[in-house]
Amino acid sequence: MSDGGDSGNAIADRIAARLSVYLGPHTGRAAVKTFAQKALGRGPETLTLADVPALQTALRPMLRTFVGRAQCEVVLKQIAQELGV
Amino acid sequence: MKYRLLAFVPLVFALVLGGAALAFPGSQETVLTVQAESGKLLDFIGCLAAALAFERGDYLSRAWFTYGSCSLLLVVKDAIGEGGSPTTGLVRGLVVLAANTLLAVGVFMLARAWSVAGLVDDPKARARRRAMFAVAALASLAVTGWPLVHDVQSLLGGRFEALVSIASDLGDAVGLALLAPLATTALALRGGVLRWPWTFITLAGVTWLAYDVSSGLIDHWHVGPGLALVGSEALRGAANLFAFSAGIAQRLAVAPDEVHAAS
Repeated sequence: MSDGGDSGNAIADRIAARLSVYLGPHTGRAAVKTFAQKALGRGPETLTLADVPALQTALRPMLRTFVGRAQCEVVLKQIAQELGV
Repeated sequence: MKYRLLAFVPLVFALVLGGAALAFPGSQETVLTVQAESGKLLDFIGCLAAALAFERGDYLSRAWFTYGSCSLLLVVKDAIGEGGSPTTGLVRGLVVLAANTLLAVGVFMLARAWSVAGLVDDPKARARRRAMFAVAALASLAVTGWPLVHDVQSLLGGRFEALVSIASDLGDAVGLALLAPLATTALALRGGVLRWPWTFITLAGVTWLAYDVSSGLIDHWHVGPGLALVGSEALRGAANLFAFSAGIAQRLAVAPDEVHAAS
């Protein structure tokens, strides 16, 4: 899988890496940052496992736009499985 | 690798059919007609494949279907044929108008995908996006401005068939101006599989730009059958096939096995 970057937070990096398969590493990182701010009001460096469901909800419209509803749910499920939430 | 192969499809298509048109001068018109019509059909098929990769109602499903419908309508226009009664001419004009409207709306929808997705540019990227849009808008004006003025003058002079050209000019103008957001989206997605559909659809637009310039020069200089015409038609075929490649790349990118393949 492509490198998702280095936010200093392992959870953010794992999510960014998963998104980077589709969006590339730069936009994968930018998406985690944008939607962490929108959903949680905090940066990606503060993410905890408890934040993941809210971040997934925030990422859903973006993923639906780019990969469609069906594949969006597959990606979100993979993120949840990778992080064990 | 499969995405890189798609980049060669338009080049091979243009070279093979362009080469055939030059190799058989007696059949040049037939070869160029086959090239034009098969190119439009493949354009539609590629975009339909992309649209069907999504579920009904998904944003990009609608965008790809709208974009690809232009080519299908242009095949219909060609099937109606030239000449005939004023009614036939009017129907042709309306079909071209509808085709170009769909093209402009389709390009607009693809160009807007970035903001529809809720992604936000950083200040540097925003400045780059604006600068590229300004350059593309100027290029669009330079390429389509004069033909548009000429066609409007013809319409005002009572030549109602100029409506067909005006519709085409306006579709080209919008499509070319929107090359910038398509290109910046492709650039932003570099490293991800989604860069491929956006790169190919941008290349389709660039190739249309080259075709518009070359066909304008051919009309201006009244160039007959030969290398210039074959070259110009090859550009049109390549533009259609870049749209085909974009649609297939989009379908591959959102195929269920892509994530596993990339993991």
